[in-house]
Amino acid sequence: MNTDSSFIKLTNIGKSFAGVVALKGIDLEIRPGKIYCLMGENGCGKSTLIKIISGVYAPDQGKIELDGKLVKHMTPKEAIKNGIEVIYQDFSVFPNLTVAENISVNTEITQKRKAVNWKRIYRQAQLALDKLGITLPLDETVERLSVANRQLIAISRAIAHDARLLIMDEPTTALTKREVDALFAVVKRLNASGISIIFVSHKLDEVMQLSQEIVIMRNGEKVADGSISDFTKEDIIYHMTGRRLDSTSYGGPQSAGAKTTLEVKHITQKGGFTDVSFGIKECEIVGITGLLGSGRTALANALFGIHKIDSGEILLEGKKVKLGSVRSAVSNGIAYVPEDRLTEGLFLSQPIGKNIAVTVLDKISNRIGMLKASSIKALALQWIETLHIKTSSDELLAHSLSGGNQQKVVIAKWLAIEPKVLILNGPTVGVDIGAKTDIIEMVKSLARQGMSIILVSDDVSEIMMCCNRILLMRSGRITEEILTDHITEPELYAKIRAQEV
Amino acid sequence: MKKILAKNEFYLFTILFVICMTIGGMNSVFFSLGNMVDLLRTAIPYGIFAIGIMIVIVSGGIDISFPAIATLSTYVTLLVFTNGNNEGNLLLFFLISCLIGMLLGLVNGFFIALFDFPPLIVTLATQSIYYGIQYTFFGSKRLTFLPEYINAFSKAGLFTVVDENGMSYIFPVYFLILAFVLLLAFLVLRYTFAGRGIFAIGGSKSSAVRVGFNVKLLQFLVYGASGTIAALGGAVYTIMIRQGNPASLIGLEMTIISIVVLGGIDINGGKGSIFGLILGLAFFTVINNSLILVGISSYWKTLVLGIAMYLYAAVIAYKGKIRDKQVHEIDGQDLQKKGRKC
Amino acid sequence: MSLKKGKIKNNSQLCILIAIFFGFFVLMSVLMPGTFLRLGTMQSMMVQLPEFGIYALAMMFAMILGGIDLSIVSIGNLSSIIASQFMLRYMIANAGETENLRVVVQGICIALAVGALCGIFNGVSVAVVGIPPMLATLASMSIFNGISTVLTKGASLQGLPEEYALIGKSTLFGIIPIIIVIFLLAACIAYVIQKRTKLGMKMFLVGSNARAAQFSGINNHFVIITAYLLSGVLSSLAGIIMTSRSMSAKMDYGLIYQLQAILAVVLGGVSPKGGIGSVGGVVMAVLSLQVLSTGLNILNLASTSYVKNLIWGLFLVVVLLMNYYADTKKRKGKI
Repeated sequence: MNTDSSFIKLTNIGKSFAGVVALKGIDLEIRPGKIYCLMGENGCGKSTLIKIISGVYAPDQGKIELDGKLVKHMTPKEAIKNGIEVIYQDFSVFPNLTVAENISVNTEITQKRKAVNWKRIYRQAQLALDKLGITLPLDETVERLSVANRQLIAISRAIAHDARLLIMDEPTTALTKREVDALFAVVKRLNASGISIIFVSHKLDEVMQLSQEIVIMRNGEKVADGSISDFTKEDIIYHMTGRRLDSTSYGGPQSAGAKTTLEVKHITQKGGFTDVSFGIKECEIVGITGLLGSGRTALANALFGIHKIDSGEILLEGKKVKLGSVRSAVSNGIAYVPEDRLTEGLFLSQPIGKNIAVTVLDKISNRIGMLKASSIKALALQWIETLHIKTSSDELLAHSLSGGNQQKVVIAKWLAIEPKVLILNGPTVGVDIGAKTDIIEMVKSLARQGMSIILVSDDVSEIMMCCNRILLMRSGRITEEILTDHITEPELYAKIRAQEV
Repeated sequence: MKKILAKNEFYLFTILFVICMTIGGMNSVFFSLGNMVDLLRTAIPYGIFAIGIMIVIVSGGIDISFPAIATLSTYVTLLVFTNGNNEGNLLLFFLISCLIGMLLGLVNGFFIALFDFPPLIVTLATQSIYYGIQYTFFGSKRLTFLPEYINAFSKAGLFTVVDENGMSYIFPVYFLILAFVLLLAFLVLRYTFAGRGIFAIGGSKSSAVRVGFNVKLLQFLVYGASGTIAALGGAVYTIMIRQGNPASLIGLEMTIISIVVLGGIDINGGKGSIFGLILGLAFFTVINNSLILVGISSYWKTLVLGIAMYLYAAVIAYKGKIRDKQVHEIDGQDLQKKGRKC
Repeated sequence: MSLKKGKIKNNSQLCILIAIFFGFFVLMSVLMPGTFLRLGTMQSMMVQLPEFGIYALAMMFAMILGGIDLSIVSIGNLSSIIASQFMLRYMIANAGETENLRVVVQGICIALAVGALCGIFNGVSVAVVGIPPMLATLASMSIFNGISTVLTKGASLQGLPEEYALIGKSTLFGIIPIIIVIFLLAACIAYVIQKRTKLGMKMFLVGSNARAAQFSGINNHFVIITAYLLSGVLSSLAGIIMTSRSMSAKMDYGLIYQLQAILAVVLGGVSPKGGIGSVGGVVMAVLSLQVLSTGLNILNLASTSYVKNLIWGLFLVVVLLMNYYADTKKRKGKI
């Protein structure tokens, strides 16, 4: 195979939905054996482009060439036949079936099998695993496997028959650092055998580490592409957002006399974290970072009363409190913006107003629990204005909002209880960079007004921008406490990685 | 891992064994050949119905219209055959019943596959419609003068057991129908790609679509099969009681779903085995028919079955909770965000 | 923008139901002014409707949570059986006109209490034990039916105190049956609970996303148990009305209502996924179904009551299809 000739060539591709332009004038060339990274904010047209390459959508204009031959009408089946495989974020695995079946299913479908030969299925699956150089129990049901292993299954499935291009949509979102490294090893191995990869990701560091070529999109157009070595991080952000990111740190008004709001002493939760102690003062933003699985989410959940602690004590403004339930945490003035906005934060089928009012129902109802619709509305309108939530009405369903605005609704519902301590867990994950800046600014201004904020995140630049202090976690313990002024971004990044055993 | 999968079934098997031993120990009649033949005979129609429902539930759906389908399809067929004198033959009787049943089932499949309506609601509506058609256009009269070949088949036995009191127990030929459908269902679910597709849809419908299963076609077929099997069950039941009674199957849907659930088939779809189904059927049949042998009045059987089912469901729910918790402890966060139906 | 459309859609289902109700009402009045617009016809509708209507409200509370309650009729029967056995035990035979009134009132209280207990049992099974609602209530249906069978040996209980019949027979101003008033009152209370209290709002939120509700400080267990408790109390109320009308109690009365209640609730615009629905919609669905079946009866189209089933089933399919096309249109407009 000649590496100079392209595998897929897109010329002047355009696509619009009911008059709204999703893609315009896209030229893209995928050459064999290269790793491409596709970047852009949410809604920039990345997923539409992927769907066009994989045959799900037909473009309105432009042409697609495969191996130099013009393809008139690309269908998903044809794409698969030509070796184009997409691994979606949810991996499309069957939790109830065995590993072997999950891996073989694509091949079986392409070969139009009618009968099931279990020996053949196991053989095919083993073959695919061998190609990746990994081992997995073939007869285990997938629901018993970790997320990382599910992803490996999805990859094995994709390459079980002759894949030439593998498209991976945000493959590292739910992986620990070590699992990411393992994944990258697999990807490089595939790449070495001549398979092209398109890698969609938000995480700059990963992009820099893995890919050879980069394609950046904004508003449905390709704004930059080229070899990764020609780009700096700042360049990439600039191309994605169209503006330079403000990277001033918080600093914050730190007076010596500030009161300590929350203090934990030697708290332990079996399976979660061990012997954790720290305190946080008014106007302070404390970052908690560490790798996935380091106990950071378990700690945040415990501080919010979702899971009880087994030993140790929690002091709020000097008084000992028991956080046995979410309600006890809330009544003590602790609020929590959870990690997974869609499943833990929002009521998608309910109006924005109710989404915001949910935390203060007791306050806005009368003694016998009656509610007035007008008080919900007033509350909702107030927060929509304060947080600049982009919506035409408080009665719109939460479903109708963009990711960033949805996150603002979740934050609004907690600001409504006027918390003393606000815990934010990955507040800007999956939020585009414009809304990210908004949220970061908001967090800083809340701290300036006196709130204590705990920011749980693995986004190093976010932590550096916001926090006064950083707590580093590893296997359930706080291993280091760092003042932001005393460390640089690369150093912090290195420290987190150095924790890898 | 086969062992892990079979765990629920293993529990059920143990419980069933203990119950049988207890009943048998208290009253030796239980293990007599005559009683066994009797139990097997009563289990036949329930077993056939349960297979159809199991397939639907494994695919992630549900069908509560099958008693109506069974009633309507066999009744109409009987009407055709009893209008003249003993027209038709046994094979034709089965064929026409099943054909009507399949059509009625495909109507369910049409709405569920094509429009993506909730199966419970669709089959609720069609149940209403099918019973409505039955009573409005065909009446509620019991048909007692059946063609001779049906009566003959009803009495035909593979073998006959005579106990010491001179009571004879016929092991009916139509048991073979149950055996055949069980075997067929086992083979289809285990060794055909369509069968694995049914499990795949039940496990994750969106994944099945992406991987390239023809999900709509499969769903369509599943409900067609369910309708066909329902009609077959109805025909066998008619043969068994030797009359066409439009009211005899009313309310059966809940009983059959209970049997399927007792057999360890996951009500949320994707999991279950024919072996489990047989155990659930055996459990139901023993409780339903044999409590009287140990001096418990048959008035208690509904309660006993209810409690058994409740405990079983509670144990499964508890095991699920434990597993969720373990996952939580391992990863420090909930990975099981599939969101159980509340 | 899209939400406004969503709102209109929800209202449009209500509008369709109202239109069908009045359309059919007017049609019947024009076609058969002599038979349909008679007081007797109206009264018989008002007498037939409440028990079914109240069961539908009971079902609604479970379905708003995204659950289902397959045990409502079993609860109705069990509670009225226990109440009947109590009344039969303590009533004074050959008593004067009002001597047994106290026993009857006690009996009613007992029925409601049994309904509440059954509801709590369901709620605990779903919320605390964690059994899927369909399974939990399928099993409890069997358990409640089983208790009823054991208590009565399958027989029907008769000879209840005369005063008990008053519930089913009494009228307001000599025209309006008291039971329709009870139904409307129950509907109003359900409306107020669902739309005007924080408890009701929490039910919708839990039905929409139980996990997010937990993360927002809602006590999910309490909300779920309360909803099933209300469902149980309403079921026993329907059972009381049913037994009072027939002056007997039996374990298999009204079994047909079980599935019909689901039908009415879905017809009334309650989403089987939970979190969406209104009492107004359910009440209109129940009224429409009643007018439809009474009308068919009068038109002599209904030789048996089963033609009702046919029409109801078709009705549900039509409404499902109308919603489907409304949705597709909306989606097309959006993208």
